[in-house]
Amino acid sequence: MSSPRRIVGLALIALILACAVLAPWLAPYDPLRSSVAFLSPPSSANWLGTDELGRDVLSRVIYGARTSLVIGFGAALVALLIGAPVGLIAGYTGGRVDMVSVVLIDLFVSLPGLVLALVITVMVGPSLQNLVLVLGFVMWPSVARLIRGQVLPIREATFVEAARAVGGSPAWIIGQHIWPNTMRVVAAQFAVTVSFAIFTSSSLSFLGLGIPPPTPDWGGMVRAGYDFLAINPLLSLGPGAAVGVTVLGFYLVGSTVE
Amino acid sequence: MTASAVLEVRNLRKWYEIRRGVIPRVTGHVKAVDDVSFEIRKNEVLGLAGESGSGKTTIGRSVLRLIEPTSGSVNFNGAEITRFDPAALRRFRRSAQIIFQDPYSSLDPRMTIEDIVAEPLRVQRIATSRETRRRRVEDLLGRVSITKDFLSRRPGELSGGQRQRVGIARALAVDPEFVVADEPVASLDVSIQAQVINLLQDLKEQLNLSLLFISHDIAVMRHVADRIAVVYLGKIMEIGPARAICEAPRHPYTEALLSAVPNPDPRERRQRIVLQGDIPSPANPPTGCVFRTRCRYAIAACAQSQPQLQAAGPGHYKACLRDDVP
Amino acid sequence: MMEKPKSTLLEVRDLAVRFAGRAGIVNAVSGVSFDLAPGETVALVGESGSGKSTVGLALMGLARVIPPGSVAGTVTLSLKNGGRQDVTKLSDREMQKIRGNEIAMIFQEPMSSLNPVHTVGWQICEAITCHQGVSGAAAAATALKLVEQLGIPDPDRCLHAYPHQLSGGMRQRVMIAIALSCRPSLLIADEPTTALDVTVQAQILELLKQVQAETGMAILFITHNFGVVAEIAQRTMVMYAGRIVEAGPVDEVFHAPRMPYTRALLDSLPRLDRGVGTRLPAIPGQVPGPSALPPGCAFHPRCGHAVTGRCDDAVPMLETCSAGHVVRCVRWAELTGEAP
Repeated sequence: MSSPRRIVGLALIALILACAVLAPWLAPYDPLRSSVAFLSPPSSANWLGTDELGRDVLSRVIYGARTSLVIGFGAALVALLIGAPVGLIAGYTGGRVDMVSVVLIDLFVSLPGLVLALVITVMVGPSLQNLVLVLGFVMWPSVARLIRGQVLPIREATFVEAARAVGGSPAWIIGQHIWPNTMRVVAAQFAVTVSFAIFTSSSLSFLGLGIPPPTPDWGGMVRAGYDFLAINPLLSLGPGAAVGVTVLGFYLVGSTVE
Repeated sequence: MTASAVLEVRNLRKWYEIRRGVIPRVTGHVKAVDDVSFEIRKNEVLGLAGESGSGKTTIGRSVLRLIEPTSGSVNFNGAEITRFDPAALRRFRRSAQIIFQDPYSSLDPRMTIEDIVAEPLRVQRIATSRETRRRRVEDLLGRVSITKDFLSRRPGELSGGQRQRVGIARALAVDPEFVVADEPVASLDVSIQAQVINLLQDLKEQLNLSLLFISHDIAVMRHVADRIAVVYLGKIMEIGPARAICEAPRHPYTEALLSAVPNPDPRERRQRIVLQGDIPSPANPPTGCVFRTRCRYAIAACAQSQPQLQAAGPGHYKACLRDDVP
Repeated sequence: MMEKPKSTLLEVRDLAVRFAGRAGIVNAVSGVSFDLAPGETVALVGESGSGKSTVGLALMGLARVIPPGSVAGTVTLSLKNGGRQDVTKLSDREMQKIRGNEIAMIFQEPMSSLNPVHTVGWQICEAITCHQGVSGAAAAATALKLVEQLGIPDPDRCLHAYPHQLSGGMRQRVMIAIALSCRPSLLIADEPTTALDVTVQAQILELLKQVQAETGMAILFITHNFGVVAEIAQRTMVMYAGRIVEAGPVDEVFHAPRMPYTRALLDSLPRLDRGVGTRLPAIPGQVPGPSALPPGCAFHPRCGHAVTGRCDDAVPMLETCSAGHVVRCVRWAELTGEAP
């Protein structure tokens, strides 16, 4: 039974996905093409106006979807690739391994993600690749914590004991029984992680630590448009709304996974 | 060791540590199983009867090393399994299996019936091709009267009785010679219990199994077991042939247990022995005989020392100081 | 219809409970009618899906049905003040005056019925305060007396304990204390001993019998255990797939069952007085789910005496086979006298 929330969320994600995939056909102009008509107000030629280099804002917003989705999915994937094994092994093994992992996870989780991402990006320098890695690194502890929390009750289930009784090794049990039973929760959290990554990367871009220009990137666009709010607020509102829509879409879907 | 004994358990103990304090220190032990000895012969069913806190479930798990015994010896076909390394333990699991009580939680809800029954074959590397595995699974399910169309279904689509039969098929997949049945019918509807009891009896005959049958329901056990051991607070109170235990018990606890079982016969108006008090905590068992606090025949000497198992008849032993009771 | 006892405490007529499930309407209980006299113990026995627990909940107005589900029929209770009331017509607020006061209920799992953050004494007093209007010291004194009367060892310590500090048997006794605190005329016991050890079960059954002798309270005992039925009840009603299929005095139902289901079930029970290793006559098939009932008699697919055309046609009516003994089977007369 698809709830209205999930349908709305899926629709929003579809919209953003369409923008990313079909950008060359949807965007009216080349996003990197500057012109002399800079800072022009919204018109029939440029629905959202042009920015300080005369580039069409709408096209840049549409192309910006690519960057955001790459960062979002990439970072969420990195977080999963690190967090899942840690959560699974810590949760199943218990004992010292678990204790150490929990301390580590709690340590990271207690630090504000944005600040941490900021600090590390300053150190390693901003680039698409770095951004994906940094955000993934910031987010893996919450993934690990969630998965570990799921593993603990499953570990006590009788069917796990049954697998031990037939001679299954811990690796077998984790792979065959524990992981498949956590996947539902993982899928739900994945969507939320994607939205967090997109939001944080936009914040970093806003602070000047995002994708270097001229690649269209929503956060960077919001920042650049800040100086010209009085002239054309859509320079910031356009990409800002895009971030909001994307984050909302992923969040709605993530929160309605059964 | 009797020549035909499949399993011989000597002085089995499972004590759990109780830790208290900010810096956890061991302040005591929960004596779940305390100095238990018995043996099971080939093709024999030994029933393990007891109530909560008796340790019967822990005994069942310990003889398979699903729970690690604290001390004691478990000898299977001449080999001491408490000293097995992981590889030997895994081989042991081909010969000794377990049927669980709860048909709802003992099957992975995300796996198909075929995968569930095939898992032991994959883990133990029996029947290495998918085809041979499938045929073996169909054969096993057929033995427990589950038809082929169930292969692709999930546990959620089956009834309790059907799930329990799948659990039995899984236990038999590796062709074990010894099976621990942990309350196999307790969670089933009354009208299904008889079906599964009959099935277990049939399989035992057909496959020459030796069974450790754990149950709190002594009427069920009467039906299935050749010998019965009665357990209370981690110790064996009485052990002997099923008929002797049920018709002429020699231990006060066995007497009380049998008396408490409500018989579905309204005409039978027997004088019930109603024990006083609750079962003591295994963390703090009474000194001397653990049953003395609820025993109607207790005397002063019962608090002094733990009675050892003494002969009370052919193959029949009781742990009680008094010879004149019940 | 069963013979009407001289003074009826409870009159249930055509009780039907329907739940709105994902796959449509599910008839959990259909056409249940019976009477209860003051001071008698009647057992409602059946397996899972028989609807027995739903009957108990419906009598208390606790069967939660959201439309299009419904609770139909009448449940007429003789009140302590002399009046008679159909409790199905009462609002939840009015029903609260009945619950605990006129009818009390105890459940299988006392741990989930007791509030873990309050002491046991607090919870007993809560029931007393609710219905009797006394409070504080008076309620505490009543609670203490109650707990003593129930033979609970160390009553004072018990009252100050939290539920998780007590054993299963103790908790069940506390449940009984709460249920009795306002001297109800009817106690509905829904599988109260199923989760208990057999020696503790014996204690609780003794306790209930004793309490009943002292207070004259009637008990509707819901269970799946025929041994317990034989132990505690004078009359019994056997339920299958939401309907009563046989009812009568316990002695008759056990020794001369007319319904093939009852007979087959009794035969299939493992008993201490049976020989070792004999084969149990098992009933084939499984209990039908309430959303997939077979046509006609719900038991006929599993019945060794079913006759096509008669048993699978319409749901059989309840017929009287002897004084106070009814059965829902079209073939009962023919089958009597046949060797079981």
